[in-house]
Amino acid sequence: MTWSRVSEWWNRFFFAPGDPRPLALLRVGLGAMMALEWILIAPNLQELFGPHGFLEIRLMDAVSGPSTASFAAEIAALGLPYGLALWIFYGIRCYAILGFTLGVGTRFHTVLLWITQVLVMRSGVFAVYGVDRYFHLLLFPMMFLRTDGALSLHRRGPAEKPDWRSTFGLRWLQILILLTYLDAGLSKAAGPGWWDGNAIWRCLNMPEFRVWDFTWMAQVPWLPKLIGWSTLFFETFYPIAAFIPFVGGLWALVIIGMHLGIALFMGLGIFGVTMALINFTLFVFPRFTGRRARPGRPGARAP
Amino acid sequence: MTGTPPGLRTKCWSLGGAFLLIAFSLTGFRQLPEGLPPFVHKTHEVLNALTGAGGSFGFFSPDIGPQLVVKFDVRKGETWHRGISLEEFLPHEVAIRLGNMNRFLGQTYQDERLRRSVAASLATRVFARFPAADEVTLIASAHQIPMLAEYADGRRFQVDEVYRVRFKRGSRESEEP
Repeated sequence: MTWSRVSEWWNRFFFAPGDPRPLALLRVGLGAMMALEWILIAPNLQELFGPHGFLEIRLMDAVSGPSTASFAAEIAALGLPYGLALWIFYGIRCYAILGFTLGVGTRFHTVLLWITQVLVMRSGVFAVYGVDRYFHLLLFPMMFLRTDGALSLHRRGPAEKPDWRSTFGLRWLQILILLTYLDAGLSKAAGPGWWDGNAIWRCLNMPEFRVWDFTWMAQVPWLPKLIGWSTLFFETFYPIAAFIPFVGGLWALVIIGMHLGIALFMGLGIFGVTMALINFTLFVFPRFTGRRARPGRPGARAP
Repeated sequence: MTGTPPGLRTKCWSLGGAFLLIAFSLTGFRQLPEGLPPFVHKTHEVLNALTGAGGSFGFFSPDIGPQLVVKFDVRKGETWHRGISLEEFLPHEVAIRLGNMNRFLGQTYQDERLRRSVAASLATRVFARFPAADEVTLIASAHQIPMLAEYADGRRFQVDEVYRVRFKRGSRESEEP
């Protein structure tokens, strides 16, 4: 392969004009899931983050450093009731989620949402879990990207024309997410449980995540073993497979199936659906929308 | 600008920035090696907190051990309510987060005061749910799930009590029977 061909491939991969809709759909999807999470958590806000919640504020601070709760306590010292300060913070977060999702003042609302996300993540390692980590991981680059080129109240009408920023942003997020899968695959492969099927067996039978009775799996041990091996294989090699034409789309569908399975069989609804949505918008949807006008190849698809 | 191809300078800045952040994310997934200057660790920690890259994304890895389950026995006068869990009063999304706090209780065995503080904090929420309760006993149990082969051979799930502490209303003392 000559240098000019490498250069051409590189430019096409990162800088070809791309459809703005995948990033816009990701923005709307993430926003919707954050809004849903907000609605589900709001009635128990004081118990999760309040001064006399499940873990008291001094205890949380001692373990994980200053948290949102302690910032609210500082404000309370100035005369604003603690509970009200906490609600104001979550009100601001709700406002940021709405602006982000609807695509109104998108950049401003993405930055504001990222700030609240950082504070939420600091609010105790115990009040957050995997889905919040993915929100955080994606919000950071999204502050620098143009995500309101479509599906946005800010611009009514058809999506913006294909632009290199859309392709570049899509590649950035794709690589970032694929790295998390590589990390997940390699971490799991380090223990015996994912090789011999016991990890799957235990996941499904842990009291916390037990939705259905899966004890019958002990009679068909090859099945959890097969699921464990498949998980290792599909997660570890996703970063390579995602960019192989045709294979990448099918691979992403398998990953989506895995996440929907987590939602259905382990009761991790928001996590499972959010991950399925991230994979759909970054790896499946662009295959249908990413027709880009390239010299000599007007109908080419961007993975 | 829409549709305009980027110049070389823009390409370099865009790619450079993105690759730096992606490379940083890679370091964020793992602990830095010991022996580096403290400011490197501090910078790493701050950047992790900002970008969300810190820690591993290998959920349930490398393996899954026993799960700590926290239940409460509540006494109102002569009446006992046994085996109450806070999760049963909560929506699932909140219960998952409470599960993290329960797991934290299991990580505090090195520090008795911390363990007791966490237990007291959780018990306070039970007193809030049962305002007439005289006494709340927290019971933490490790749920041991046998291996697949062991289960097929007849071994069943085992619940081992690992910690029990009793709190009485109005008393600042707790008792470990």
